Amino acid sequence: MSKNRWNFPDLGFGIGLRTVHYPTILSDNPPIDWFEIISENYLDTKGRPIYILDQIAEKYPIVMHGVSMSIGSTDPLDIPYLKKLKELANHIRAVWVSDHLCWSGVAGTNIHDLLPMVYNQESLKYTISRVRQVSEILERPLILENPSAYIEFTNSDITEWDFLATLAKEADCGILLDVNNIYVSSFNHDFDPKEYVDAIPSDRIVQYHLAGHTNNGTHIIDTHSDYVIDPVWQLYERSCKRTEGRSTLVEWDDDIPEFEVVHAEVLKAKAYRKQPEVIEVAEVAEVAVVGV
Amino acid sequence: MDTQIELGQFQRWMSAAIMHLGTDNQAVKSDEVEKEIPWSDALKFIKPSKTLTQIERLGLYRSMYILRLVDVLKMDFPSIAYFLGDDYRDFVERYLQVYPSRSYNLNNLSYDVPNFIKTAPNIRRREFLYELASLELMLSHIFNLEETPVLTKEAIAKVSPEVWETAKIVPIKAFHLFDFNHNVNDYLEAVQNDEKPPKIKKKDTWVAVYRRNYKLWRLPLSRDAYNMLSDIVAGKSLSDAIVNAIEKSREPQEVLQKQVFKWFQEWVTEGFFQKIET
Ligand SMILES: [Fe+2]
Repeated sequence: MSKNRWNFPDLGFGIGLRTVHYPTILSDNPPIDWFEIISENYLDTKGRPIYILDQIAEKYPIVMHGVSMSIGSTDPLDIPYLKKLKELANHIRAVWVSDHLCWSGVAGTNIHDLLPMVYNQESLKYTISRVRQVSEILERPLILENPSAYIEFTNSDITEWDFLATLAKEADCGILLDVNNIYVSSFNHDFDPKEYVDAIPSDRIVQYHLAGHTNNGTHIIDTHSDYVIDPVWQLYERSCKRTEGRSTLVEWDDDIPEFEVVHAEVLKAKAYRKQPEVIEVAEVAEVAVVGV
Repeated sequence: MDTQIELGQFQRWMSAAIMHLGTDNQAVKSDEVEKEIPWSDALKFIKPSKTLTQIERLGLYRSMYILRLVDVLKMDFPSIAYFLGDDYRDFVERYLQVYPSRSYNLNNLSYDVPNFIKTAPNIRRREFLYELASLELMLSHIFNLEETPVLTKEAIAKVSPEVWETAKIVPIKAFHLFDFNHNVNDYLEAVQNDEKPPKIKKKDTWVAVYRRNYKLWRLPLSRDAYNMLSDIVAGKSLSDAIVNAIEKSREPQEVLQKQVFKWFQEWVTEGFFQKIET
């Protein structure tokens, strides 16, 4: 059983903050442990979004989760964007700041998607240096989430789990482990999701994501539009046996039901992490990193 | 081989393939995409899955790209989407070819929609649509502006009469005046209320767009009211604005004097102003 490397607190069971739930949250003060925001929705605005967020941040811990850092892009880092992230994090006293292991655009254009990376030594070395730069600018460790993917490349000669594990160790970043994304990618790429879960260094896991998805038969799309399915709960349970008290969050972004429904979904997680067992922590996969 | 170049080439290829219009097949075999990596080579580095071919896997990203941005722009331009109907998606695709997103912030994607309408070929009712897009874009812009304190009736009551001669009234930041040649505000109003929009017609209309308590509002104005408010916004003193409005008006002076008083009360109630500068 391991603590996380930075002693980030266990915030308990939260949900992604979405505008449709603002009235309920503001009027009822529901007994939820914490919220995660999509960072970009609160940058460059001095209007209602930040006005509401300030009120919610007075009452609940907030974690920032971004979608546009594009850590894997070969474009230069967007420094003004990173500075705005840091300002917002300081303003709302964000407990930590996360984004995704992906790229979102190149040559100055933005696709606004979490695009899959090539996993090899070159991209690993490159990503390690980028994560270090970002952590320096943000003045806090960066937490990276494993994305769902629908395509993979023959020039990827490292598995995503080994890539993520080595990146976390070498760049000293945290991991936001999305067990639904592991399930989605394992279906799309035909690998064993348990192998992925077991390979992640538990002391780097800062947070869990859970979500529903859409199974189209031939492939799964990570739609965040439904309840968490049993195999995903089982992966979560498996990972929880290796991690003590990690903040857990349900994401629901499409066909969003009432606040109580989403809250009830994340509270199911309590049962899955109730009885932790002490088992050996997997070693970080050894992947040689050249010249970093 | 340099990491930057190799990774960059792959990313430029994938980005171009996702953003290209047409079918998946046309995209990967287009000059712009093959310039980065020929499809025969790309086939070698994309893995097929057990159930999907290489091009089907790439196609998932392509379809999600356009659907996402079609939805995003519809949030900012509901009336444009309503007006264009079945042509809306094609409009967005054409727009993205000229103005692809270049910002981490999706709000910025909307900025060039009026410009695009002004200059793109084959736009129906171009002048009307340009005004409608300008109105919708301004609403999104005002939504994100900073809140400023609002001038109260009590504060106005405290101003001594002699001060009004030269006093200027400063509008709140989240405020904009429009002078249109079409009935765009009525059109937008109907779309927002899920009603059938009025017939589009050429007609001089004036509207104030503003935010009060973090909510967006629109107030139709008469020509005279617009003239007076424009002078106030331009920094003229209240008394000059009133004199100008009376001079420009077709109404008899007594009628307009009464109206000016009523308008001003309404504007204060609506929270148009933040302070009096003496
Ligand atoms: Fe996630």
